[in-house]
Amino acid sequence: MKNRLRELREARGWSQGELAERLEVSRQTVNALETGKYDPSLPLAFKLARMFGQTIEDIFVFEQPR
Amino acid sequence: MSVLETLPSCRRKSLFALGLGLACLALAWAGLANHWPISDHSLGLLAGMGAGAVFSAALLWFMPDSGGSAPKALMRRYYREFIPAMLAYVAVMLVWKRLLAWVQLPALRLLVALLPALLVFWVMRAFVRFVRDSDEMQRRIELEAGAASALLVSGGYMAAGFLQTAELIDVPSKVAMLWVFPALCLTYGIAKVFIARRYR
Repeated sequence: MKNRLRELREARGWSQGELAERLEVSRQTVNALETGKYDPSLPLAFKLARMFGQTIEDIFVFEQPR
Repeated sequence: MSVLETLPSCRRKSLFALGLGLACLALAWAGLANHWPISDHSLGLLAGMGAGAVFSAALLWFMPDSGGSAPKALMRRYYREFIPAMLAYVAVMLVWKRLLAWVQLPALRLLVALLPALLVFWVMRAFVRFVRDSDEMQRRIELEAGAASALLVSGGYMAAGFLQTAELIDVPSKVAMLWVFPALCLTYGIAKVFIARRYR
């Protein structure tokens, strides 16, 4: 799933490690989220949305599978 | 500064595992060549440990992130709980057969027979605590690796069962039963390397 996580993180000047600490996940998980290799659970998506002051739909772009 | 100190921590661990593995294999080889007295049971144990340690060294050297994404503190706790349990298991296995031959009282014999299994449960406890406290992506990696290893091992055992029924192979039942858990651990480790790479 495409997302704007990197853009939002960089806008706040956070490193992946800092975001990982805030989310209580590993840096590798943040990297996998940003590159779209891992889709977060609903609780983690809500946590991200609240952290960035956005809605889930503003951060994650759902793509219809072909 | 020594050459070792310039290496990343995973490579230092890899060299340690390689040294340990080669030492075990050398001792097993020396026993096999009758350079020192060793029972078949201990020889098998040493060979198994040696092969396992060399395999772990190769994984750590060539795929340093193969363990997934667990935080360092969690990994440290895991090793702190896993290593004593595993060392206790190895120590018991070294004397287990002799102990079993020595103990005759049925109740005590039952206890001695199950002692390695109890220690394996101690090892499993460390692993369960590690998975439970991992983040959600790490748990997914562990779950997928567990599913893959269960499929591979059960499929392999079923295939071996058919071969045995057709009398094409002849594996003693006690060997087959004892190797279920090590086979699961080995396939789990290999599967985890490939699954973790998908999320990198």
